[in-house]
Amino acid sequence: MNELVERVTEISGQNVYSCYQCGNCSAGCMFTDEMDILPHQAIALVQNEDESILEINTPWICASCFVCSVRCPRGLDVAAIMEALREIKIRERGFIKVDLRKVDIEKLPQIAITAAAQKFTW
Amino acid sequence: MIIMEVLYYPGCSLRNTYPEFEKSTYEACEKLGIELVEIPEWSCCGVVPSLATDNVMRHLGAVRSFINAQKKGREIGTNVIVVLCSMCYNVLKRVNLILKEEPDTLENVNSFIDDQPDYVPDLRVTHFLTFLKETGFENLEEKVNKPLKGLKVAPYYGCALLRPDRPEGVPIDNPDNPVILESFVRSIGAEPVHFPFRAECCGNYHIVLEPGIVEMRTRKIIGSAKSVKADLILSPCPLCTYNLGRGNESLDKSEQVPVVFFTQLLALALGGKSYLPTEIEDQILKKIGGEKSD
Ligand code: SF4
Ligand code: SF4
Repeated sequence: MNELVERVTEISGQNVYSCYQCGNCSAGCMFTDEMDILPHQAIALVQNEDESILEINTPWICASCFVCSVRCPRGLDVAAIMEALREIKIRERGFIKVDLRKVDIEKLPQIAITAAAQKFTW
Repeated sequence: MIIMEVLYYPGCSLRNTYPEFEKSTYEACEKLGIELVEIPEWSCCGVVPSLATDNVMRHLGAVRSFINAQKKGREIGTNVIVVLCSMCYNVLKRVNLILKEEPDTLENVNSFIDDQPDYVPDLRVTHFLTFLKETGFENLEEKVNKPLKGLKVAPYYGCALLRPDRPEGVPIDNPDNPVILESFVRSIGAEPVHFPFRAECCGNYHIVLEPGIVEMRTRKIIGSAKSVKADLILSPCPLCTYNLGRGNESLDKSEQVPVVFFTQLLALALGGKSYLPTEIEDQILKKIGGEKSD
């Protein structure tokens, strides 16, 4: 198995090849306006072993709302695949998505900062 | 009169950001004869469930709380944990179900936490709304002495109460067509109004890095509630409440819809202290008073 596919599979526990590109996930996603490519297109890139997926913003715009995971007719946890794509970057040495020391923690509630730290930092 | 004791997991938000959520719950529980027994030395749940199946580290906060809950539960004779915050509920429910379904994961976390007895996954994590439903919304109705008649309430579910649907048992209701909040609203005498954005995402953690996304999302949710003439948006979640508040701040006064915790309306309807801002409580009282006189 190609390394990208292998890591996504290992982290998410999902078999990306079972996606048949129906686009249901993208149809339900409320954040597509901000995404470089749609969620089902992101999965297609993984299926095609295309590493460029790691440089697009789609997994980072994903808000983990799980609409896609509930609606996928193939039973794929699409949100977990998005998380795997973030995790691959987060686990890279030297990669920093957010420096929490620079975030205005006085203004924001703890629940928001903890959630962001869980999703964007190692 | 205490008729029932249950374990209770408060979570950080109720302690440091929204004490009114917890205080109104205690007020309501006192009226209902429910004693919430706080889990000793509970830990932060982590807010969002980790979806990385190869890393159990992010589940440990939840497991530490379960171990303490188990000890306390055996003392008072219950295995039910009641949770108020939607995000905490989602994480605790998921982790508990995963530990029940995956013996390897259970063994892994138990051997990691070696300063405590093992967790035997026999606890049941329940959202307070489910708990109320199981004790019967009809019974609640009987105890309401100030029905919120004429108040139009937009029940906002958000994500964490309804999704994901795996492991089975996480959603507190049908993810595509939930009714539990509407039933709750009826049981306190108010009128639930249907709005299409009731189960849409508020933007979650994006408030930290991309607040523009949250404002865009929440303006749509608020606009949708406004268009069906809601007096209030009912929220079960501290993060949704915060994000909706940011949406309201970005709107003109005339387009805003106040956001309250479901327990605040419950406490009010039971004749207790609601911990609502005076201005909002006055608006509610005016509305229900006005209905009564005609
Ligand atoms: S809904 Fe499922 S099968 Fe359809 S495109 Fe998305 S991931 Fe693939
Ligand atoms: S979980 Fe992410 S990709 Fe899926 S619908 Fe929600 S925001 Fe879109």
